Amino acid sequence: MTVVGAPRPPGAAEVTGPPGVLAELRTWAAIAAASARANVAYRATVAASVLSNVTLTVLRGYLALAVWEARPGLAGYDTHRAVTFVVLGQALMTTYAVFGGMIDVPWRVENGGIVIDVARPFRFLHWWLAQDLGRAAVFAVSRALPAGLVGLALFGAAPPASLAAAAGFAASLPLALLVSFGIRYLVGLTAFWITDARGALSVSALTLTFFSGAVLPLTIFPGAFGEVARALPYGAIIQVPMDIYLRPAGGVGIGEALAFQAGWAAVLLIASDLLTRQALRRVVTQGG
Amino acid sequence: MASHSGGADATSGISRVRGLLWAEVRAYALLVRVAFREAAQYRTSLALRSLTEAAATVLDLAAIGIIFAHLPALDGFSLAEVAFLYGTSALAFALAEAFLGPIDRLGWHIREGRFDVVLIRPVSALVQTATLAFSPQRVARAVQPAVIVLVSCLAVPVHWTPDRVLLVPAMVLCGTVLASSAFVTTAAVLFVAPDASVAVAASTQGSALAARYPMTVYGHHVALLLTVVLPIGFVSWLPALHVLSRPDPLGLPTALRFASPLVAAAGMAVAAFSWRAGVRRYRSTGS
Repeated sequence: MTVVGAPRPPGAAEVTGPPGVLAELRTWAAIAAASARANVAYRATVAASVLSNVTLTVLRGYLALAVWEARPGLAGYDTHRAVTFVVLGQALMTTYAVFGGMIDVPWRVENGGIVIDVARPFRFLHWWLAQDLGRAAVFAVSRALPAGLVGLALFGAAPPASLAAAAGFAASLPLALLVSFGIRYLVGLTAFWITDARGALSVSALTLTFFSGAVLPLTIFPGAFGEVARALPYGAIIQVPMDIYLRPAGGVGIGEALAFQAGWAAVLLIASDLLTRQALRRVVTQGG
Repeated sequence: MASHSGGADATSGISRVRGLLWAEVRAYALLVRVAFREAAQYRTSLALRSLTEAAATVLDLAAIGIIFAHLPALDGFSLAEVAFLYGTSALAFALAEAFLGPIDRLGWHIREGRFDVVLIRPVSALVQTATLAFSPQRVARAVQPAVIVLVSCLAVPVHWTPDRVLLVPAMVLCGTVLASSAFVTTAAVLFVAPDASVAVAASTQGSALAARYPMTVYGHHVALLLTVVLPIGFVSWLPALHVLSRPDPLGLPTALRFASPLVAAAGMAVAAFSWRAGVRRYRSTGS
């Protein structure tokens, strides 16, 4: 088949200054913006997702209240901080697509559209990351924010523990996105080997939700089970940012927490890169 | 003479309806069998997905276990009692999901233009939608909740009178009907807004989460909303109060504990009405 270069985003061709970098950035922005527009287009999806997020925030918020009223100080949180964990944690959950998927690789493999993605004059891995950036931005504004406001109105929320905690929390947000993307992208890539990737997708959705801290804080997981749960990369998505934000007694330092996230982000992205090379070698175009 | 022929008409009418229903049941059974054979072609995926179904229950139970690792009782309910609430509601939801398949995919089928074909086939649209992507591994999901129901029944300190014993399967049956009605009602929205598939998943997740803990956990107002307005309390909470012989913390009439069959029938009527209204409003995507 003939590979035709995809049209460049407007302005990308005229860049003369430092070659590459600016053009590259503009392409990232263009892809993210296009993905954001596609995500905004489905109004009913947005409405249904907001409803879902509000429901989960309310139910999990009341559950946390019941647990922490019976056991104040559990995991170093008072009741106020425990509900803060739920409200903010739910916002992170939807922004980082902790429910899994949102990377269309399996569907593109199934319907053959993947051939176009491979032929784009932009790296395959970067293409999907740029798309996920656009999606995350839309999810943060359209779903996390409204549900967060409902949670805030119902339960209230504690401010960051300190100025350093606020700065650390801000720094942890992009790292959390990279970890979440890395996991979901690797799962999506399995579609190159197993054409029907639904099994892998649903396993990852469950583990992501449970071990990220979206269901219950990982810090109340008891014993060796808790140790393992806290060492897995999933915690870098919700538990670690919330640890930095709330700074409960006995928690790790901000630097250490950020290093944990950065380490997992690096491992996952390197693995993604290596596996992408393997996967793209498997693409066979049928017909023409 | 006239009355005689009228009677014959009525009888033949009833037998015609019965024949139609029987045809739908047979079509459903046939399509489910096809789905089983289709799934057997993708063995790795089927194994992984069956594993997922098992993992879902394991993780739900783990969450309950983690809470009880720190608390002796949740709002006065012991681990065995919460396990009974979880088991009965999870079993009802699992059975409903197994019968109806991933009905949230309806929106996707509509967008891809596949629903036109559904409407010209001589089988009801609901039977086809339920079997279009029927997932055999979902049947396996019911096994674990069933075990949890049995184990928790042995663990709760209940004097098992015949009415209590009978109420357990009855509440699971009514719960299954209620959950199915809820899925069909939300899925009917997809005819108007095909991209709202998330709504079906949300109603499943939300109601399954709400039904597994004592309603009082959610506070007085939300608990009333979840029993009186949305009938989630009739899935497990209200009948369970009778089985566990507990006073109602919300002070609702005792008769409501036995009202699940009536509420389930009403739910079915709402679902049937919504589904028909939805199909009538269906507009092809034309792609």
